Amino acid sequence: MIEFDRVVKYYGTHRALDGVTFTVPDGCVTVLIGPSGCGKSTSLKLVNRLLEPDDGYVRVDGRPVKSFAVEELRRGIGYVIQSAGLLPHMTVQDNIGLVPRLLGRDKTWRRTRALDLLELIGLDPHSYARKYPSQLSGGEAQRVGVARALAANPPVLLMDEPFGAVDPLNRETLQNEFISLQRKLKKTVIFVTHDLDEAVRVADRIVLMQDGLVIQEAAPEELLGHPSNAFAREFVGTDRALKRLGRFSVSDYMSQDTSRVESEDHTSVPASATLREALSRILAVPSDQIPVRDAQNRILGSISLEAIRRAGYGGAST
Amino acid sequence: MKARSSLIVVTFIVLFLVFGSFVFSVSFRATILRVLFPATRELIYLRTGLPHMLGEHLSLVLLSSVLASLAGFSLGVFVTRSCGRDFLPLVRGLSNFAQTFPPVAILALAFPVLGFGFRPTVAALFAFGILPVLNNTIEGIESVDAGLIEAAQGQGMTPSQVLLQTELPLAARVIVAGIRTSVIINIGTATIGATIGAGGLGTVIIAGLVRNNTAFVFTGAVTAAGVALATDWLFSRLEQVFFNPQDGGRSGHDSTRHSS
Repeated sequence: MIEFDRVVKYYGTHRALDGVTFTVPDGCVTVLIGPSGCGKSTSLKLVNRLLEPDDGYVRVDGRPVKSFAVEELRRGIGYVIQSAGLLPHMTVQDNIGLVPRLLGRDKTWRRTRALDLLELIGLDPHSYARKYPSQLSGGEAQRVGVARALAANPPVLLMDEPFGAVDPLNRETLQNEFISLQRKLKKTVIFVTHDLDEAVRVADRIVLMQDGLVIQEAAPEELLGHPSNAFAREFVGTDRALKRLGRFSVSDYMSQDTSRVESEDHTSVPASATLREALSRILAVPSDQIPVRDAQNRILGSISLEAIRRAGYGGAST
Repeated sequence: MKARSSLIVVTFIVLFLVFGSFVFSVSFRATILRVLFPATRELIYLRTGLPHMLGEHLSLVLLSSVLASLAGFSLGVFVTRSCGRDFLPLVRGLSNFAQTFPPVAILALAFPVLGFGFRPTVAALFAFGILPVLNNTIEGIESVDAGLIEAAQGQGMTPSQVLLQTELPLAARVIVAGIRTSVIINIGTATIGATIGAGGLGTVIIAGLVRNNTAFVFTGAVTAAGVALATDWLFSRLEQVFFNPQDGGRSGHDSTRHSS
């Protein structure tokens, strides 16, 4: 667990963090979000002490970060940044093995670990291990950046706009890969972004910040359903009810009843999709329900406009 | 492509042999000079042999350049550390100012203080040779992306690891270019050392100027130029070996050349 306790940070005379308090529970993804200059990246860098607070405490597992030797602290926390930050004079394999090397792991261990991690992030180990960062696409470099952060198997990951420099199509792929990776690894993640859609997709909890203050700390459904003030309402947007549907899975709201759907219906929705996608597809057909199919394209049931409306109504009323 | 590169190699070997013969074979040199300066009676400077002057010249340059590179590099690293950063504007300003000094002026200023001979010349060449190394060390290190340094710190590198494993490898190309400039300038400037009795290739040039003997001037100038060209070529080979195209963005070569 990571705790921010009335943290204050000045840049010159500018109060970048104005008494920030929130907690990051173990094993889930906490997203820090807000407009630029709200203090989200500053908060992140206080955890691995790239910045030091002027007042207040940052604690990891109850222990103030100040009490750690700074290099030891950083080697125990995975750090992923925008445009990956890979060292251009080292191969992919050496970049991934960087923290283990600093920790004194031998060459064979590092090589095996690098190949395993390349496999895990979906890059062919043998063709990528010896490449240089300049030979990677943006998305590949970002995946390697994640692999590097995972190399020493740290319990905590800090991700500073990790997918911000990747084009939208690749960004969504990377987000989905990250979500499934996180499901396996259960790291304690602090994830900074200014992209609400990204936050809603990856977050277990969202901390909304503005001008160095925490405005709201809540689960994504809660933030979208009940934004706590005018700023939060404006930030989540007028389509927040739609965004909120993105948090619900079709498989949880579909009906097993297949009697009213025709198997030759052209429009259907996969069971793994979100209610937001299902709604979008229903709106494109004259009927008020469409079939739900599994990965093998078999019909499992149907999802109706009524079911989606009921799911959305749960919290979208303010 | 292959035919062209082997042609270049052959050209280099021929040039090298011609240059070597010119320096070490008096009769070969005399033959060439007779063709170029038919009117001159005294073609060969007899007081000191050319190989000896070349040796003096090389030791002047080698000693001063090694010291200057070490000093320039160390100072450059110091003023880019957090403990020395306060001195950065001062050192930068001084260095840029000092570079506008002509080397002759440095020598002229050095000899009243340091006297005649080898040592004051080395001192003057050293002082002048520091600047390109210092400037390039500062610029090389300062040009490393700040985000990259933060990334390296964020992974848990100590300050000395950041310097040795991130900043210096990425700045190496620019730093070596500074050393290259420094050495090449020193090879030319060292000829002036002869005016205060340091020996070297300047000896024969000065003698030629005094006696109005163009063959002497030519002998000294061509030899110094040959040394400068050879050194330059040596540096470019070194750069190709150490900054291979595999690291793509850093060396400026086509990164796709790397395979397997």
